[in-house]
Amino acid sequence: MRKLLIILIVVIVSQSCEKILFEKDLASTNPYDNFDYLWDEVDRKYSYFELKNIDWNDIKTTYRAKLFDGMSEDSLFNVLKAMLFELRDDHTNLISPFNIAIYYVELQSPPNIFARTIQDYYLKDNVYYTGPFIHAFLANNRVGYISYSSFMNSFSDEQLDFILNRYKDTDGLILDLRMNGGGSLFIVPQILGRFVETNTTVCYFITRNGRNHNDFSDKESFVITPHDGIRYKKPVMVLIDRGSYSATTHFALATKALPNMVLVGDTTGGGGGLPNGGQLPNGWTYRFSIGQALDLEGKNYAEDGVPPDIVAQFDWSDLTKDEIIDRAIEEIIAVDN
Amino acid sequence: MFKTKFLKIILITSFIITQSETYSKSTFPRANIENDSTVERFHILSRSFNSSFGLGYLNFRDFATSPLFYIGPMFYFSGGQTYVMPKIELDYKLGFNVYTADAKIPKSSLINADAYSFGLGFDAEVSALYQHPKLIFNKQRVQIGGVGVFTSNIRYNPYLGNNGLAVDNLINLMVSGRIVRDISRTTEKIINLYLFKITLKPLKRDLMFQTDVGVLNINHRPGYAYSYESEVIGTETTPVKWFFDDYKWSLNGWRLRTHLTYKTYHKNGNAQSIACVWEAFSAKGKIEPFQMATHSIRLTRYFSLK
Repeated sequence: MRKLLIILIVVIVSQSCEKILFEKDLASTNPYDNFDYLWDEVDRKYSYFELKNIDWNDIKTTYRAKLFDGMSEDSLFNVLKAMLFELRDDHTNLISPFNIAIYYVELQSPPNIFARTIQDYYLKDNVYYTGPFIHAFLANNRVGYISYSSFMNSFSDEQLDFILNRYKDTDGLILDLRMNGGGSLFIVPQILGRFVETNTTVCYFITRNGRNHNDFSDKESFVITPHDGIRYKKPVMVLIDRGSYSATTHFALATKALPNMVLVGDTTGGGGGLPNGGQLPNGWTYRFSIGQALDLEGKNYAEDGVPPDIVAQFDWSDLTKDEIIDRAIEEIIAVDN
Repeated sequence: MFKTKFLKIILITSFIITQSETYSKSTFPRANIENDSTVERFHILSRSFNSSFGLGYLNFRDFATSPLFYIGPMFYFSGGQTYVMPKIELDYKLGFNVYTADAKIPKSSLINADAYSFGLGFDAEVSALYQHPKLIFNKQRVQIGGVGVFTSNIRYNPYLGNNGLAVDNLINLMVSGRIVRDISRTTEKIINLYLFKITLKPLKRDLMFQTDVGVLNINHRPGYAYSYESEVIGTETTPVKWFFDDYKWSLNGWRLRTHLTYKTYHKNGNAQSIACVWEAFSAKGKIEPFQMATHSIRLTRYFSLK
């Protein structure tokens, strides 16, 4: 029995040492603990303080004063949400089981697209649905129109081959990325690779790598490699608006380096930074931008939105026309003529 | 209290598993420790293929993404070989574990948050334990040596967005010490359980306690902001480059391990054991550490090859 007791003591002691060796449990519902943790994480890793001229210390003073012991979780959420909204960044979210904080950049500007107009007056009965793409011939079959609503939607090479093959005899393509909120960056080169003939550096990325707000890594080149298959060499009009965000902004930024691609419409919503992910001591999760996308000259305006090459606005007094599509068609035909 | 009862159940179960085994002096050839020649020192006395599986739980915390502990069940299995020589015991092992873990989130007054992670780990290990003649005492002997371990832990947390996927790689050189006590049953023993009796035949068995302490600890972990720059370099990337481009090497952290093993031997040279294994490590990395501890009960079968 004594031996068994010794064995058990040895096992219990040796099996519990991590309580001594690990740092203490930081789980907490205390509002100050969660506020300080979130503020510190953003301070150490957010990438756009200087571009957006944000005094993060000042914001800490302002919003920490709104906390009090015993405040409800709903109230704490609203304080943290308001603090994060100071970043003016749709890549910055706070997620709790009862609410999600979303900045909604697109709501800062009027919408620039109406789906019914496109369906009733442009696509009509001519429309095809290939994977996530909606496409049709326009302008007496001189223009191919392709709508892609989200970079979250994957597709196969064969599907894109089918589409590009269908419009191979057109004078140009319209790629409609309005209200495309972004998604996977891996899909951006999948599409752009169809419109380049050589390896092309289209932009750069940098990531926070230090405590100071201007500590960033070296520039990483974003290179588009030509797709080994069907490519399209004629003009491509890319339609954008304030609802074009994140991966769509990266796509738009990349087209600035490609001479056969033209941006038409309104400035994109931004979202040029790669967002991270994390968790607070109370279990809520968050994300915010930790990197920047730069154009070939090293400018980081993508966070505030990539401006179009041709500005066009939707006229809400006439729902029979989509002025952005019309302008794009006009540009394709003018180039062809 | 739960751990005490659980361990008693495991120990009694191991008695039942081994009650039919018999003891023979030829079961486990002992080293001729008086003869110190080099050739005989490395003469392989026995070789066995070992396979083990285990169940347990783990808890980990990745400070780069969350201040919370994640705790959950783990399944472990491994295969390897053991070479017993007059003064050295060499062990090679490849091990895998799979796990799920829930975040230890404090209770909410509104709606409780939840988060989970799952992952798999891979270990490659080489150990060498040396038996010095002066470290043999009656029924006990002490072995000292070293262990080299490479561990790769791949984990995914769907709640952490672009920071959800991580690979923690560790290389540790550890100093190891093991106490082996011969607790063989040399005579038949009868256990009277009132309703029935259990007859335990003579049995060769050892009780071992081993501790491994990391003295050289290297880790390869995600960099400062955790997300992967290679994800955004267009088509000029490969999955390996995407994974490791922003990963950093660091020489820091620590690793500890204890094993309490009960091993019984068959007369044909085979053996089996049941072990309580605890392991913990901290990979500090560049900024924020990753810490993990595992607790498992492992059953191992040794198949004699010589």
